[in-house]
Amino acid sequence: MYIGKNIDRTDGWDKVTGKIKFIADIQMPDMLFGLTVRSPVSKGKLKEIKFDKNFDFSDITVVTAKDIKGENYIHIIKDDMPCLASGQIEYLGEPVALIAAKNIRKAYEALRHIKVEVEEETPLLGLEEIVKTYKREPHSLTYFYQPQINKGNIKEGFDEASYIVEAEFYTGFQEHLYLEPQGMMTYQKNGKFYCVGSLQCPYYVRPAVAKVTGKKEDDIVIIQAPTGGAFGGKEDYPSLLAAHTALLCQKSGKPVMMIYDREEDISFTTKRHPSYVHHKAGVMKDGKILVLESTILFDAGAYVTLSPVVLSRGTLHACSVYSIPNVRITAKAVKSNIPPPGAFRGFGAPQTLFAMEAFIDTIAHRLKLSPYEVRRKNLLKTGSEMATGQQLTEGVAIDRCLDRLISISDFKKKFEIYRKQSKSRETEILKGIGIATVLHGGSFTGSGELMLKSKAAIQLNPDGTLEILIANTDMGQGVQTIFPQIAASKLNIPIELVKCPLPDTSRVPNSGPTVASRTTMIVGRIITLCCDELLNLFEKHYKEKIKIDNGILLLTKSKKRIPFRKAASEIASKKPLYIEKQYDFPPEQVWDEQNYKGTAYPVYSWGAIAIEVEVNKYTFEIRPVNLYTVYEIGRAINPKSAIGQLEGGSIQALGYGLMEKCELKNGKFFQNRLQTYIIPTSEDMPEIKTEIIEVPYPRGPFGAKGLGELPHNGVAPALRNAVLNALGIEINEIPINPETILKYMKNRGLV
Amino acid sequence: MIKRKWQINGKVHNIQFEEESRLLDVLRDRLGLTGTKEGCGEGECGACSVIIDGELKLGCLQLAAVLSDGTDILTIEGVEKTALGKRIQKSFLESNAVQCGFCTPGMVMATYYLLSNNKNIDRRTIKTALSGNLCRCTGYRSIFEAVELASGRK
Repeated sequence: MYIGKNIDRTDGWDKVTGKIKFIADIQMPDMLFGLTVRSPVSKGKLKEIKFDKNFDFSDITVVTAKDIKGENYIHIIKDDMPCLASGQIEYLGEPVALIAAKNIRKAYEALRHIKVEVEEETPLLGLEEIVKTYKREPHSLTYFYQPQINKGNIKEGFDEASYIVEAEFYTGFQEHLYLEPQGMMTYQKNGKFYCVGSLQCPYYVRPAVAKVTGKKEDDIVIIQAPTGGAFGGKEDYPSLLAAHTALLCQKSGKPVMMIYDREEDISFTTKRHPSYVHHKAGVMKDGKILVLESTILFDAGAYVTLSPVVLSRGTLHACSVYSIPNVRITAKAVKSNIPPPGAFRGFGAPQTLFAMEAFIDTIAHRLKLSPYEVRRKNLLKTGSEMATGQQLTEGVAIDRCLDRLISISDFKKKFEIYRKQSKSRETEILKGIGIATVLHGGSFTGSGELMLKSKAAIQLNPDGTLEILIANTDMGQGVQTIFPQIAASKLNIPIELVKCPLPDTSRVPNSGPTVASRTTMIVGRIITLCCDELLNLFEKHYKEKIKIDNGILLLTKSKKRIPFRKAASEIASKKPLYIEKQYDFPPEQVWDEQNYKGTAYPVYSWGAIAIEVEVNKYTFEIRPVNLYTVYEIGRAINPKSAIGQLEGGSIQALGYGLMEKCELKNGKFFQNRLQTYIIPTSEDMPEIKTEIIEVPYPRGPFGAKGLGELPHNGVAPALRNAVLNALGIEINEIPINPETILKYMKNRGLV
Repeated sequence: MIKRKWQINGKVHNIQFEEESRLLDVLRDRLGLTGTKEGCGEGECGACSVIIDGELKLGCLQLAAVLSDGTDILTIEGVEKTALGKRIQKSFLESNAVQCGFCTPGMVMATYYLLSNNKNIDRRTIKTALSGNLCRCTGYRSIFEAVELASGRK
């Protein structure tokens, strides 16, 4: 009844009026402000942390590794990252100590009087260095994770093929640039630590803080503050920040807040992993791909953190939307001496999909075929087998997305006109159009959801209000609006009765992290199971079959009509009625992690993207003019919110492909401020046309699948393919800014 | 300590602050007007946009001490009380021009300034007027629509 309705955001009015309190807007009595003391070099042995004898540190709280009462590491996948480095330094900016003072000015003053001395060693810095070393002596590198996919027989594929096509692709760092920088506060009450902050995954933060403080998990409470954007950037990093504020709080006995300024945030928090992909394909004359052999390298930074799972998703999306009979993929997460990259919308898939979608156009370009035809020849269909052997039994909608896209963008005609446009001296502006077709696997990879055992709950209060109790966070994507829509529709009650508060681990069960496009699809399903259970309990209570119609319980036998509120006050008369359910993992989803065989994801969302650009032949400026996207997402619970996600993601991806340059210079990010790290502004916007196709997913709530990450997957390669159409040059790296074009033109002797 | 008497959101305030304070700090820390946000601290993101004597300014670049007695300041907290402000806020909500909400106060202020001073606006003028305000969530189209809706163009 509320499905497919454009309900306004429940937190919307507080946001448009500025009333909502982000973490930096909160103050507590006696609160201290914390800062981090960091390593000035990329690698070495920590010799000494020197505190200036002429500075009065008496009212400054100082924490070093020695003060840690628990264990000195941040629990993520492996426990290898220290909370505060004490011996070995692995990256520039690695935290070695923490300080807190009664105000931020005082804290900065103290920071200036602390010197960190490190005996320097030679670091490994930068993707180019990694690739060079990999090609020369691969055994000298350290790998955090090395998945492999093998399907068919690649030798036979290459023997049979008419052409061999080969290319190398590079993608750079991408900074999340959530508008609200990282921030966290920890205070103590009745022997418990309360961490309140800007975060995505409260149940990732809780064990991390417990380990470091030496407390039991039950003595740690994590509360999400309204979060000003995250995009993956607040998935694992808040664990470190919470551990740091908790240590300062533990030592000082006072509430401690840490808010990163923008430069600190860009310099030291996670980013999208830089990637290198080498593709070699055996192709028939008509564009049919018989075999794909690929090498994928991700720069994984100083510690393991989330890199294995990011690379896993990247590897599993490397073949994009194509059915290829013979595949060998070798992927490696390489240790280096940079701040650990981490989760970012798409989680490894945007990197490998850039490579594959660009490669398809490379094949078309070299074989003089249409990029549309090459895609059509190789597209996955219902019944196709993916590289992992996963059989796609239903709901493959990529052909529908592609055909609709071709029609709304007029791709075929424009592509031919632009390909033949005059490149004479007089023409200043060259036009181009490019497409990409992509997918995104919904929820955790492989057996991840089985191991998570996510639990979600609803609570019926005596006044008839229903609370949704989940650990999933609203960071702007609309959980607090979508979930009431799901529950109210499932129960057929007015949406005004349903509330979805931000998570507080003392109240909500662990429904898993807010990542992997899983919240609506997986946790939404658990909430529908809770609603079913509530109806069961009503039936038990009234001892007959019940239907709920628009907030009225209809007792089918006695023909009684009881308003939902009244029924609630009867069934939950003494105390609120709490109903918790666990995710019912589909038994047919079997995954072999060792051999990368089986069902990597229960379902995929699909997308087709076209972008039209104008390239100035003399300045190499690229202006995106039109962006057409068609996304298949199962069911849009709230269409305007879904479109908001799809468009917002598409524009982040446009920034990734077009302008978001972040370079390492001597271990430091050169673009570490908003003046230098450029993201799209209103002036950069193309005209956007977004269409949604709905092929309901039977296990999703009302047919919904994941959609949050999908739009980050295809815009960058479509842009690259548009530049290829305009200039006739294969550019194999992003971002494609004027400097990149100049480099390629120079290499080909064109300037 | 500097002492000033300003009119903020239609009310006279006597305030004291340190010489080097930015207007952003005075609003947030001294007056508790936390609707004005700090996103970058260097004038790039626009989250701290306020209107000073009828001009759109950035709170993070504005030294508070240079604003003399009698300065008139409008922040997001005051906008809701004006008819135009309320219309803009409703339009933002309706057009889904809000996701995380951190850039929103600044966006609303920039829109308020645009619509207070211009009767005839089109997509081009909107894009230019909002080019100093970064949003990382929406992709801007919904914000353009919100501005058009508030202007009565849609």
